[in-house]
Amino acid sequence: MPEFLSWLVEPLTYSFMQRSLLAAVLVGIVCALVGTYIVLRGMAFFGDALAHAILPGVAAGYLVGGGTYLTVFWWALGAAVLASLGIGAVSRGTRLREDTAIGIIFAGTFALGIAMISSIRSYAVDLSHFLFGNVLGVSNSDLLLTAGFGLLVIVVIVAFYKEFMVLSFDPVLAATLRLPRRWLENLLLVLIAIAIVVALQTVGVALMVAMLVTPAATAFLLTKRLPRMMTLAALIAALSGIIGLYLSFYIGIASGAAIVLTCTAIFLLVWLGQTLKTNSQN
Amino acid sequence: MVNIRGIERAQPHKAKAPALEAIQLTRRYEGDYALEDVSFQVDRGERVAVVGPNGAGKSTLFQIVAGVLASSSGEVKVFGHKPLGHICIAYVSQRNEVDYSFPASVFDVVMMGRIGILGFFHNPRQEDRDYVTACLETVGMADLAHRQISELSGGQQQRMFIARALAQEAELMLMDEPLTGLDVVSQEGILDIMDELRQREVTVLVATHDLNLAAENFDKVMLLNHKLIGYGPVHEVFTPENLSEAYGGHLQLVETDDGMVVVGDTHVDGPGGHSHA
Repeated sequence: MPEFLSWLVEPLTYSFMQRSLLAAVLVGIVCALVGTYIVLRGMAFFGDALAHAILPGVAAGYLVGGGTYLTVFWWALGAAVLASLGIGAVSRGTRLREDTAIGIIFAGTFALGIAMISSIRSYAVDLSHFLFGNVLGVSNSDLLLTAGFGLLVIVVIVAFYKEFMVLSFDPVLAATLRLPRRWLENLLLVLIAIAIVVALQTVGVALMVAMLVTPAATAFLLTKRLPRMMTLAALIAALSGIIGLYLSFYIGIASGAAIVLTCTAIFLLVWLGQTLKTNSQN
Repeated sequence: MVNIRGIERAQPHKAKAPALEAIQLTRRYEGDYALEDVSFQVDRGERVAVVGPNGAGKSTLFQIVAGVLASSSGEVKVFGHKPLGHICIAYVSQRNEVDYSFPASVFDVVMMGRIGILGFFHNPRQEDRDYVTACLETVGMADLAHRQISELSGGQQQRMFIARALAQEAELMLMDEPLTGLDVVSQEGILDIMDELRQREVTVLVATHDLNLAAENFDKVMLLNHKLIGYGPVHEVFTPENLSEAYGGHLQLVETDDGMVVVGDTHVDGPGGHSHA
Protein backbone atom coordinates (compact mmCIF):
# COMPACT_ATOMS: atom_id res chain seq x y z
CA MET A 1 0.00 0.00 0.00
CA PRO A 2 2.70 2.59 0.82
CA GLU A 3 4.21 1.63 -2.49
CA PHE A 4 0.99 2.53 -4.26
CA LEU A 5 0.82 5.79 -2.31
CA SER A 6 4.28 6.80 -3.30
CA TRP A 7 3.37 5.88 -6.88
CA LEU A 8 0.46 8.30 -6.59
CA VAL A 9 2.36 11.05 -4.79
CA GLU A 10 5.58 11.08 -6.75
CA PRO A 11 4.28 12.97 -9.82
CA LEU A 12 2.75 15.56 -7.49
CA THR A 13 6.21 16.52 -6.20
CA TYR A 14 6.88 18.14 -9.56
CA SER A 15 5.32 21.56 -9.91
CA PHE A 16 4.86 21.10 -13.67
CA MET A 17 2.74 18.03 -12.92
CA GLN A 18 0.64 19.94 -10.41
CA ARG A 19 -0.06 22.62 -12.99
CA SER A 20 -0.76 20.05 -15.69
CA LEU A 21 -3.19 18.16 -13.51
CA LEU A 22 -5.08 21.33 -12.60
CA ALA A 23 -5.22 22.39 -16.25
CA ALA A 24 -6.34 18.96 -17.45
CA VAL A 25 -9.12 18.73 -14.86
CA LEU A 26 -10.38 22.24 -15.58
CA VAL A 27 -10.23 21.83 -19.35
CA GLY A 28 -11.96 18.46 -19.05
CA ILE A 29 -14.85 19.94 -17.09
CA VAL A 30 -15.29 22.91 -19.44
CA CYS A 31 -15.18 20.75 -22.58
CA ALA A 32 -17.57 18.19 -21.09
CA LEU A 33 -20.20 20.81 -20.21
CA VAL A 34 -20.06 22.44 -23.63
CA GLY A 35 -19.77 18.98 -25.16
CA THR A 36 -23.09 17.91 -23.64
CA TYR A 37 -24.85 20.30 -26.02
CA ILE A 38 -22.58 19.28 -28.90
CA VAL A 39 -23.62 15.64 -28.40
CA LEU A 40 -27.32 16.40 -27.92
CA ARG A 41 -27.46 18.68 -30.96
CA GLY A 42 -25.38 16.45 -33.22
CA MET A 43 -22.62 19.03 -33.68
CA ALA A 44 -19.55 16.76 -33.37
CA PHE A 45 -18.38 17.52 -36.89
CA PHE A 46 -18.81 21.23 -36.26
CA GLY A 47 -16.70 20.97 -33.09
CA ASP A 48 -13.96 19.10 -34.91
CA ALA A 49 -13.98 21.61 -37.75
CA LEU A 50 -13.91 24.57 -35.39
CA ALA A 51 -10.91 23.16 -33.55
CA HIS A 52 -9.01 22.88 -36.83
CA ALA A 53 -10.22 26.25 -38.09
CA ILE A 54 -8.46 28.13 -35.29
CA LEU A 55 -5.04 27.07 -36.55
CA PRO A 56 -4.47 30.25 -38.64
CA GLY A 57 -5.20 32.28 -35.51
CA VAL A 58 -2.79 30.16 -33.52
CA ALA A 59 -0.13 30.60 -36.20
CA ALA A 60 -0.65 34.36 -36.44
CA GLY A 61 -0.47 34.72 -32.68
CA TYR A 62 2.68 32.61 -32.65
CA LEU A 63 4.34 34.68 -35.37
CA VAL A 64 3.33 37.99 -33.82
CA GLY A 65 4.07 37.15 -30.19
CA GLY A 66 7.25 35.19 -30.73
CA GLY A 67 5.91 32.10 -29.00
CA THR A 68 4.21 33.47 -25.87
CA TYR A 69 1.10 31.54 -25.01
CA LEU A 70 -0.85 34.65 -24.08
CA THR A 71 -0.61 36.12 -27.59
CA VAL A 72 -1.42 32.76 -29.15
CA PHE A 73 -4.43 32.48 -26.84
CA TRP A 74 -5.97 35.79 -27.88
CA TRP A 75 -5.38 35.22 -31.59
CA ALA A 76 -6.78 31.73 -31.35
CA LEU A 77 -9.82 33.03 -29.49
CA GLY A 78 -10.43 35.63 -32.19
CA ALA A 79 -10.07 33.01 -34.93
CA ALA A 80 -12.38 30.59 -33.12
CA VAL A 81 -15.17 33.11 -32.62
CA LEU A 82 -14.87 34.30 -36.23
CA ALA A 83 -14.83 30.75 -37.58
CA SER A 84 -17.79 29.60 -35.49
CA LEU A 85 -19.94 32.52 -36.55
CA GLY A 86 -18.60 32.23 -40.11
CA ILE A 87 -19.57 28.58 -40.46
CA GLY A 88 -23.06 29.47 -39.29
CA ALA A 89 -23.29 32.31 -41.80
CA VAL A 90 -22.01 30.24 -44.74
CA SER A 91 -24.45 27.41 -44.10
CA ARG A 92 -27.36 29.82 -43.72
CA GLY A 93 -26.39 31.98 -46.67
CA THR A 94 -26.00 29.33 -49.37
CA ARG A 95 -27.97 26.40 -50.70
CA LEU A 96 -25.19 24.06 -49.52
CA ARG A 97 -25.88 21.64 -46.72
CA GLU A 98 -24.34 22.63 -43.42
CA ASP A 99 -21.82 19.76 -43.32
CA THR A 100 -20.54 20.73 -46.77
CA ALA A 101 -20.09 24.34 -45.68
CA ILE A 102 -18.28 23.14 -42.57
CA GLY A 103 -16.00 20.89 -44.64
CA ILE A 104 -14.98 23.75 -46.93
CA ILE A 105 -14.20 26.19 -44.10
CA PHE A 106 -12.53 23.47 -42.04
CA ALA A 107 -10.01 22.30 -44.65
CA GLY A 108 -9.37 25.78 -46.05
CA THR A 109 -8.54 27.40 -42.72
CA PHE A 110 -6.55 24.39 -41.53
CA ALA A 111 -4.40 24.54 -44.68
CA LEU A 112 -3.85 28.26 -44.15
CA GLY A 113 -2.70 27.58 -40.59
CA ILE A 114 -0.25 24.88 -41.69
CA ALA A 115 1.08 27.14 -44.45
CA MET A 116 1.69 29.92 -41.94
CA ILE A 117 3.41 27.67 -39.40
CA SER A 118 5.57 26.09 -42.11
CA SER A 119 7.27 29.48 -42.57
CA ILE A 120 8.77 29.12 -39.07
CA ARG A 121 12.18 27.47 -38.71
CA SER A 122 11.28 25.09 -35.88
CA TYR A 123 8.24 24.07 -37.89
CA ALA A 124 7.85 20.44 -36.91
CA VAL A 125 8.12 20.86 -33.12
CA ASP A 126 5.84 23.90 -32.95
CA LEU A 127 3.23 22.38 -35.21
CA SER A 128 3.10 19.22 -33.17
CA HIS A 129 2.49 21.24 -30.00
CA PHE A 130 -0.47 22.97 -31.59
CA LEU A 131 -1.81 19.81 -33.13
CA PHE A 132 -1.42 17.48 -30.18
CA GLY A 133 -1.09 19.77 -27.18
CA ASN A 134 1.62 20.24 -24.59
CA VAL A 135 -0.05 20.28 -21.21
CA LEU A 136 3.24 19.56 -19.43
CA GLY A 137 4.46 22.98 -20.59
CA VAL A 138 1.62 24.91 -18.87
CA SER A 139 2.97 27.88 -16.89
CA ASN A 140 1.35 29.62 -13.93
CA SER A 141 0.07 32.48 -16.09
CA ASP A 142 -1.29 29.98 -18.67
CA LEU A 143 -3.11 28.28 -15.86
CA LEU A 144 -4.66 31.54 -14.70
CA LEU A 145 -5.87 32.31 -18.21
CA THR A 146 -7.30 28.81 -18.59
CA ALA A 147 -9.02 29.08 -15.22
CA GLY A 148 -10.45 32.51 -15.96
CA PHE A 149 -12.01 31.61 -19.29
CA GLY A 150 -12.94 28.14 -18.12
CA LEU A 151 -14.92 29.56 -15.21
CA LEU A 152 -16.55 32.08 -17.54
CA VAL A 153 -17.81 29.25 -19.76
CA ILE A 154 -19.10 27.31 -16.75
CA VAL A 155 -20.93 30.35 -15.35
CA VAL A 156 -22.63 31.12 -18.69
CA ILE A 157 -23.63 27.46 -19.23
CA VAL A 158 -25.22 27.39 -15.79
CA ALA A 159 -26.86 30.82 -16.18
CA PHE A 160 -28.53 29.90 -19.50
CA TYR A 161 -29.11 26.27 -18.61
CA LYS A 162 -32.86 26.20 -19.17
CA GLU A 163 -32.77 28.29 -22.34
CA PHE A 164 -30.05 26.13 -23.93
CA MET A 165 -32.03 23.03 -22.95
CA VAL A 166 -35.22 24.25 -24.68
CA LEU A 167 -33.27 25.45 -27.70
CA SER A 168 -31.64 22.03 -28.07
CA PHE A 169 -34.74 19.93 -27.39
CA ASP A 170 -37.45 21.84 -29.22
CA PRO A 171 -36.56 24.91 -31.31
CA VAL A 172 -40.24 25.45 -32.11
CA LEU A 173 -41.03 25.77 -28.41
CA ALA A 174 -38.12 28.20 -28.05
CA ALA A 175 -39.73 30.26 -30.82
CA THR A 176 -43.22 30.26 -29.29
CA LEU A 177 -41.75 31.19 -25.91
CA ARG A 178 -40.14 34.10 -27.78
CA LEU A 179 -36.61 33.24 -26.69
CA PRO A 180 -34.03 35.12 -28.78
CA ARG A 181 -32.97 32.03 -30.70
CA ARG A 182 -30.33 33.48 -32.99
CA TRP A 183 -28.70 35.24 -30.06
CA LEU A 184 -28.65 32.06 -27.95
CA GLU A 185 -27.37 29.96 -30.88
CA ASN A 186 -24.49 32.38 -31.37
CA LEU A 187 -23.78 32.48 -27.65
CA LEU A 188 -23.48 28.70 -27.66
CA LEU A 189 -21.13 28.83 -30.67
CA VAL A 190 -18.96 31.37 -28.85
CA LEU A 191 -18.88 29.16 -25.75
CA ILE A 192 -17.75 26.21 -27.88
CA ALA A 193 -15.07 28.44 -29.40
CA ILE A 194 -13.79 29.53 -25.97
CA ALA A 195 -13.78 25.94 -24.70
CA ILE A 196 -11.68 24.90 -27.69
CA VAL A 197 -9.14 27.64 -27.15
CA VAL A 198 -8.97 26.87 -23.44
CA ALA A 199 -8.27 23.22 -24.31
CA LEU A 200 -5.72 24.06 -27.00
CA GLN A 201 -2.69 23.62 -24.78
CA THR A 202 -3.96 20.42 -23.19
CA VAL A 203 -5.00 18.24 -26.12
CA GLY A 204 -4.23 20.33 -29.18
CA VAL A 205 -6.27 20.88 -32.31
CA ALA A 206 -6.33 17.36 -33.71
CA LEU A 207 -7.65 15.57 -30.63
CA MET A 208 -9.99 18.34 -29.46
CA VAL A 209 -13.19 16.72 -30.66
CA ALA A 210 -12.57 13.80 -28.31
CA MET A 211 -12.58 16.12 -25.29
CA LEU A 212 -15.79 17.69 -26.56
CA VAL A 213 -17.81 14.59 -27.34
CA THR A 214 -16.40 11.46 -25.69
CA PRO A 215 -17.09 12.23 -21.98
CA ALA A 216 -20.50 13.70 -22.86
CA ALA A 217 -21.37 10.67 -25.00
CA THR A 218 -20.32 8.32 -22.19
CA ALA A 219 -22.52 10.24 -19.75
CA PHE A 220 -25.39 10.10 -22.25
CA LEU A 221 -25.24 6.31 -22.11
CA LEU A 222 -25.32 6.33 -18.31
CA THR A 223 -28.23 8.65 -17.52
CA LYS A 224 -31.51 9.98 -18.84
CA ARG A 225 -31.54 13.36 -17.14
CA LEU A 226 -29.70 16.41 -18.43
CA PRO A 227 -28.25 17.73 -15.13
CA ARG A 228 -26.89 14.28 -14.33
CA MET A 229 -25.49 13.95 -17.84
CA MET A 230 -23.58 17.20 -17.42
CA THR A 231 -22.27 16.26 -13.98
CA LEU A 232 -21.22 12.79 -15.07
CA ALA A 233 -19.56 14.11 -18.23
CA ALA A 234 -17.56 16.60 -16.15
CA LEU A 235 -16.52 13.87 -13.69
CA ILE A 236 -15.50 11.47 -16.45
CA ALA A 237 -13.50 14.18 -18.21
CA ALA A 238 -11.74 15.26 -15.00
CA LEU A 239 -10.91 11.67 -14.14
CA SER A 240 -9.63 11.05 -17.66
CA GLY A 241 -7.36 14.07 -17.33
CA ILE A 242 -5.85 12.74 -14.10
CA ILE A 243 -5.48 9.13 -15.25
CA GLY A 244 -4.13 10.25 -18.62
CA LEU A 245 -1.45 12.41 -17.07
CA TYR A 246 -0.32 9.62 -14.73
CA LEU A 247 -0.10 7.31 -17.73
CA SER A 248 1.86 9.94 -19.58
CA PHE A 249 4.21 10.39 -16.59
CA TYR A 250 4.90 6.70 -16.00
CA ILE A 251 4.78 5.22 -19.49
CA GLY A 252 6.21 8.24 -21.24
CA ILE A 253 3.52 8.75 -23.87
CA ALA A 254 2.23 12.08 -25.19
CA SER A 255 -0.04 13.69 -22.59
CA GLY A 256 -2.85 14.76 -24.93
CA ALA A 257 -3.04 11.33 -26.49
CA ALA A 258 -2.98 9.68 -23.07
CA ILE A 259 -5.94 11.78 -21.87
CA VAL A 260 -7.97 11.09 -25.00
CA LEU A 261 -7.17 7.37 -24.86
CA THR A 262 -8.41 7.29 -21.26
CA CYS A 263 -11.68 9.00 -22.27
CA THR A 264 -12.10 6.49 -25.08
CA ALA A 265 -11.36 3.52 -22.82
CA ILE A 266 -13.99 4.69 -20.30
CA PHE A 267 -16.48 5.12 -23.13
CA LEU A 268 -15.79 1.62 -24.47
CA LEU A 269 -16.15 0.10 -20.99
CA VAL A 270 -19.49 1.83 -20.42
CA TRP A 271 -20.74 0.97 -23.89
CA LEU A 272 -19.71 -2.65 -23.47
CA GLY A 273 -21.35 -2.82 -20.04
CA GLN A 274 -24.58 -1.37 -21.45
CA THR A 275 -24.59 -3.74 -24.40
CA LEU A 276 -24.07 -6.76 -22.16
CA LYS A 277 -26.80 -5.54 -19.80
CA THR A 278 -29.27 -5.04 -22.64
CA ASN A 279 -28.48 -8.44 -24.12
CA SER A 280 -28.90 -10.22 -20.79
CA GLN A 281 -32.29 -8.54 -20.32
CA ASN A 282 -33.59 -9.72 -23.68
CA MET B 1 -25.97 46.45 -25.58
CA VAL B 2 -27.79 43.45 -26.93
CA ASN B 3 -31.45 43.27 -26.09
CA ILE B 4 -31.43 39.83 -24.48
CA ARG B 5 -35.13 39.29 -24.78
CA GLY B 6 -35.14 40.19 -28.44
CA ILE B 7 -38.80 41.19 -28.28
CA GLU B 8 -41.24 42.94 -26.01
CA ARG B 9 -42.74 40.90 -23.24
CA ALA B 10 -46.27 39.64 -23.55
CA GLN B 11 -48.66 42.41 -24.37
CA PRO B 12 -51.93 42.72 -22.48
CA HIS B 13 -54.81 41.27 -24.46
CA LYS B 14 -57.28 43.71 -25.95
CA ALA B 15 -60.50 43.48 -24.01
CA LYS B 16 -62.97 42.46 -26.69
CA ALA B 17 -60.66 41.24 -29.44
CA PRO B 18 -61.30 37.72 -30.75
CA ALA B 19 -58.80 35.02 -29.76
CA LEU B 20 -57.56 34.80 -33.31
CA GLU B 21 -58.08 36.83 -36.43
CA ALA B 22 -56.47 36.12 -39.81
CA ILE B 23 -56.75 38.78 -42.49
CA GLN B 24 -55.97 37.84 -46.11
CA LEU B 25 -53.16 35.57 -45.01
CA THR B 26 -50.92 34.41 -47.85
CA ARG B 27 -47.74 32.34 -47.85
CA ARG B 28 -45.82 31.43 -50.99
CA TYR B 29 -43.02 28.87 -51.34
CA GLU B 30 -41.02 29.48 -54.49
CA GLY B 31 -44.03 30.67 -56.44
CA ASP B 32 -46.54 28.08 -55.17
CA TYR B 33 -49.22 29.12 -52.77
CA ALA B 34 -49.14 27.27 -49.46
CA LEU B 35 -51.85 29.59 -48.25
CA GLU B 36 -53.80 32.00 -50.40
CA ASP B 37 -55.90 34.86 -49.08
CA VAL B 38 -57.12 33.11 -45.93
CA SER B 39 -59.32 35.19 -43.62
CA PHE B 40 -61.23 33.99 -40.58
CA GLN B 41 -61.97 34.76 -36.95
CA VAL B 42 -62.04 32.47 -33.90
CA ASP B 43 -63.78 33.57 -30.72
CA ARG B 44 -62.41 32.96 -27.25
CA GLY B 45 -62.93 29.48 -25.94
CA GLU B 46 -64.02 28.06 -29.29
CA ARG B 47 -62.81 24.72 -30.54
CA VAL B 48 -62.10 24.57 -34.25
CA ALA B 49 -61.05 21.64 -36.43
CA VAL B 50 -58.87 22.57 -39.38
CA VAL B 51 -59.45 19.96 -42.06
CA GLY B 52 -57.91 19.40 -45.44
CA PRO B 53 -55.79 16.98 -47.43
CA ASN B 54 -52.06 16.49 -46.82
CA GLY B 55 -50.08 19.53 -47.88
CA ALA B 56 -53.16 21.77 -47.76
CA GLY B 57 -51.28 24.33 -45.67
CA LYS B 58 -52.59 23.37 -42.23
CA SER B 59 -49.16 23.24 -40.60
CA THR B 60 -48.13 26.41 -42.44
CA LEU B 61 -51.21 28.19 -41.09
CA PHE B 62 -50.43 27.07 -37.53
CA GLN B 63 -46.81 28.10 -37.76
CA ILE B 64 -47.75 31.56 -38.98
CA VAL B 65 -50.34 31.96 -36.23
CA ALA B 66 -47.77 30.82 -33.65
CA GLY B 67 -45.33 33.42 -34.95
CA VAL B 68 -42.78 30.76 -35.88
CA LEU B 69 -43.09 31.40 -39.62
CA ALA B 70 -43.64 34.71 -41.42
CA SER B 71 -46.48 35.18 -43.85
CA SER B 72 -45.78 36.54 -47.34
CA SER B 73 -48.65 38.97 -46.92
CA GLY B 74 -51.69 39.46 -44.76
CA GLU B 75 -51.96 39.75 -41.03
CA VAL B 76 -52.56 37.67 -37.91
CA LYS B 77 -53.94 39.08 -34.70
CA VAL B 78 -54.01 37.10 -31.49
CA PHE B 79 -56.13 38.76 -28.80
CA GLY B 80 -55.80 41.95 -30.84
CA HIS B 81 -52.01 41.96 -31.30
CA LYS B 82 -49.45 40.42 -33.62
CA PRO B 83 -48.40 36.89 -32.53
CA LEU B 84 -44.84 37.92 -31.61
CA GLY B 85 -46.14 39.95 -28.68
CA HIS B 86 -47.48 36.82 -27.02
CA ILE B 87 -46.11 33.95 -25.03
CA CYS B 88 -49.60 32.54 -24.55
CA ILE B 89 -49.71 30.70 -27.89
CA ALA B 90 -48.79 27.02 -27.72
CA TYR B 91 -47.93 25.04 -30.82
CA VAL B 92 -48.28 21.33 -30.14
CA SER B 93 -46.47 19.95 -33.13
CA GLN B 94 -46.67 16.49 -34.62
CA ARG B 95 -45.17 14.05 -32.20
CA ASN B 96 -42.27 12.96 -34.33
CA GLU B 97 -40.63 16.37 -34.43
CA VAL B 98 -38.53 16.10 -31.28
CA ASP B 99 -35.73 13.73 -30.33
CA TYR B 100 -37.16 11.35 -27.76
CA SER B 101 -33.72 10.14 -26.71
CA PHE B 102 -33.12 13.60 -25.21
CA PRO B 103 -32.21 13.18 -21.53
CA ALA B 104 -35.39 14.59 -20.03
CA SER B 105 -38.26 13.31 -17.94
CA VAL B 106 -41.93 14.09 -18.52
CA PHE B 107 -41.70 16.61 -15.68
CA ASP B 108 -38.67 18.30 -17.29
CA VAL B 109 -40.45 18.69 -20.61
CA VAL B 110 -43.60 20.15 -19.03
CA MET B 111 -41.45 22.54 -16.99
CA MET B 112 -39.97 23.81 -20.27
CA GLY B 113 -43.36 25.41 -20.91
CA ARG B 114 -42.83 27.75 -17.96
CA ILE B 115 -39.51 29.12 -19.16
CA GLY B 116 -41.11 32.02 -21.03
CA ILE B 117 -42.98 33.06 -17.89
CA LEU B 118 -39.95 32.59 -15.64
CA GLY B 119 -37.67 34.74 -17.78
CA PHE B 120 -33.88 34.79 -17.85
CA PHE B 121 -31.88 33.99 -14.73
CA HIS B 122 -34.93 32.82 -12.77
CA ASN B 123 -35.02 29.20 -11.80
CA PRO B 124 -38.29 27.34 -11.20
CA ARG B 125 -39.55 27.70 -7.64
CA GLN B 126 -41.76 25.42 -5.62
CA GLU B 127 -44.90 27.11 -6.98
CA ASP B 128 -43.73 26.38 -10.53
CA ARG B 129 -43.15 22.75 -9.65
CA ASP B 130 -46.62 22.60 -8.11
CA TYR B 131 -48.07 24.19 -11.24
CA VAL B 132 -46.37 21.61 -13.45
CA THR B 133 -47.69 18.81 -11.25
CA ALA B 134 -51.19 20.27 -11.53
CA CYS B 135 -50.88 20.38 -15.34
CA LEU B 136 -49.79 16.75 -15.34
CA GLU B 137 -52.79 15.87 -13.17
CA THR B 138 -55.11 17.61 -15.64
CA VAL B 139 -53.92 15.35 -18.45
CA GLY B 140 -53.77 12.27 -16.20
CA MET B 141 -49.99 11.93 -16.32
CA ALA B 142 -48.98 12.75 -12.73
CA ASP B 143 -47.90 9.18 -12.07
CA LEU B 144 -45.57 9.26 -15.10
CA ALA B 145 -43.85 12.53 -14.15
CA HIS B 146 -40.43 10.97 -13.69
CA ARG B 147 -40.50 8.69 -16.67
CA GLN B 148 -38.02 9.26 -19.47
CA ILE B 149 -39.81 10.59 -22.56
CA SER B 150 -38.71 7.74 -24.83
CA GLU B 151 -40.67 5.35 -22.61
CA LEU B 152 -44.06 6.91 -23.40
CA SER B 153 -46.78 5.68 -25.75
CA GLY B 154 -48.02 7.94 -28.55
CA GLY B 155 -51.05 9.06 -26.56
CA GLN B 156 -48.91 9.76 -23.50
CA GLN B 157 -46.49 11.84 -25.57
CA GLN B 158 -49.40 13.87 -26.87
CA ARG B 159 -50.81 14.41 -23.39
CA MET B 160 -47.37 15.48 -22.16
CA PHE B 161 -47.21 18.19 -24.83
CA ILE B 162 -50.72 19.37 -23.92
CA ALA B 163 -49.57 19.55 -20.28
CA ARG B 164 -46.60 21.61 -21.45
CA ALA B 165 -48.97 23.98 -23.25
CA LEU B 166 -50.97 24.26 -20.00
CA ALA B 167 -47.77 24.97 -18.05
CA GLN B 168 -47.08 27.72 -20.57
CA GLU B 169 -50.47 29.14 -19.48
CA ALA B 170 -51.42 29.10 -23.15
CA GLU B 171 -54.73 30.70 -24.07
CA LEU B 172 -54.53 29.71 -27.72
CA MET B 173 -53.48 26.12 -28.46
CA LEU B 174 -52.63 24.99 -31.96
CA MET B 175 -52.49 21.20 -32.19
CA ASP B 176 -51.11 19.65 -35.34
CA GLU B 177 -52.59 16.18 -35.89
CA PRO B 178 -52.82 15.36 -32.17
CA LEU B 179 -55.10 12.38 -32.81
CA THR B 180 -53.33 10.79 -35.75
CA GLY B 181 -51.95 7.34 -35.05
CA LEU B 182 -53.62 7.03 -31.65
CA ASP B 183 -55.92 4.19 -30.69
CA VAL B 184 -59.57 5.00 -29.98
CA VAL B 185 -59.11 5.04 -26.20
CA SER B 186 -56.21 7.50 -26.43
CA GLN B 187 -58.20 9.67 -28.83
CA GLU B 188 -61.09 9.75 -26.35
CA GLY B 189 -58.62 10.76 -23.63
CA ILE B 190 -57.32 13.70 -25.67
CA LEU B 191 -60.88 14.78 -26.51
CA ASP B 192 -61.76 14.68 -22.79
CA ILE B 193 -58.80 16.96 -22.08
CA MET B 194 -60.11 19.33 -24.75
CA ASP B 195 -63.43 19.51 -22.86
CA GLU B 196 -61.44 20.49 -19.79
CA LEU B 197 -59.65 23.16 -21.86
CA ARG B 198 -62.98 24.59 -22.95
CA GLN B 199 -63.94 25.11 -19.30
CA ARG B 200 -60.76 27.10 -18.87
CA GLU B 201 -61.68 29.26 -21.88
CA VAL B 202 -58.67 28.06 -23.81
CA THR B 203 -59.17 28.47 -27.54
CA VAL B 204 -58.14 25.35 -29.42
CA LEU B 205 -57.39 24.80 -33.11
CA VAL B 206 -56.81 21.19 -34.16
CA ALA B 207 -55.48 20.14 -37.54
CA THR B 208 -56.80 16.75 -38.54
CA HIS B 209 -57.33 14.44 -41.50
CA ASP B 210 -60.27 12.78 -39.89
CA LEU B 211 -63.52 14.30 -41.16
CA ASN B 212 -65.71 12.22 -38.88
CA LEU B 213 -63.80 13.25 -35.80
CA ALA B 214 -63.93 16.87 -36.89
CA ALA B 215 -67.67 16.67 -37.52
CA GLU B 216 -68.47 15.17 -34.14
CA ASN B 217 -66.26 17.00 -31.66
CA PHE B 218 -65.83 20.63 -32.67
CA ASP B 219 -67.79 23.88 -32.54
CA LYS B 220 -66.66 24.89 -35.98
CA VAL B 221 -64.74 23.33 -38.82
CA MET B 222 -62.42 24.98 -41.29
CA LEU B 223 -61.99 23.33 -44.67
CA LEU B 224 -58.64 24.28 -46.12
CA ASN B 225 -56.82 23.49 -49.30
CA HIS B 226 -54.43 26.40 -49.76
CA LYS B 227 -57.56 28.54 -49.96
CA LEU B 228 -60.22 28.69 -47.30
CA ILE B 229 -63.05 26.63 -48.77
CA GLY B 230 -65.44 26.81 -45.87
CA TYR B 231 -65.53 27.90 -42.24
CA GLY B 232 -68.37 27.62 -39.79
CA PRO B 233 -70.66 25.03 -38.20
CA VAL B 234 -70.20 21.49 -39.49
CA HIS B 235 -73.48 21.24 -41.41
CA GLU B 236 -72.74 24.43 -43.34
CA VAL B 237 -69.18 23.54 -44.24
CA PHE B 238 -69.14 19.80 -44.91
CA THR B 239 -71.31 19.98 -48.00
CA PRO B 240 -70.62 17.68 -50.96
CA GLU B 241 -69.59 20.71 -53.06
CA ASN B 242 -67.10 21.98 -50.48
CA LEU B 243 -65.65 18.53 -49.82
CA SER B 244 -65.12 17.72 -53.43
CA GLU B 245 -63.51 21.12 -53.92
CA ALA B 246 -61.12 20.36 -51.04
CA TYR B 247 -60.36 16.78 -51.87
CA GLY B 248 -60.97 16.59 -55.60
CA GLY B 249 -62.28 13.22 -56.72
CA HIS B 250 -60.57 11.28 -53.93
CA LEU B 251 -63.51 11.15 -51.55
CA GLN B 252 -66.43 8.84 -51.28
CA LEU B 253 -69.44 10.89 -50.25
CA VAL B 254 -72.50 9.19 -48.80
CA GLU B 255 -75.73 10.90 -47.80
CA THR B 256 -77.24 9.57 -44.57
CA ASP B 257 -80.60 10.02 -42.89
CA ASP B 258 -79.69 13.10 -40.92
CA GLY B 259 -78.16 14.70 -43.95
CA MET B 260 -74.59 14.27 -42.75
CA VAL B 261 -71.93 13.34 -45.20
CA VAL B 262 -69.93 10.27 -44.27
CA VAL B 263 -66.61 10.02 -45.88
CA GLY B 264 -64.36 7.11 -46.67
CA ASP B 265 -60.58 7.13 -46.57
CA THR B 266 -59.34 10.67 -46.31
CA HIS B 267 -55.63 10.11 -46.26
CA VAL B 268 -54.98 11.45 -49.73
CA ASP B 269 -52.91 14.13 -51.36
CA GLY B 270 -54.58 17.30 -52.47
CA PRO B 271 -54.97 18.19 -56.14
CA GLY B 272 -51.80 20.27 -55.92
CA GLY B 273 -49.93 17.11 -55.10
CA HIS B 274 -47.06 18.87 -53.37
CA SER B 275 -46.50 18.60 -49.68
CA HIS B 276 -45.63 21.61 -47.61
CA ALA B 277 -46.57 20.07 -44.30
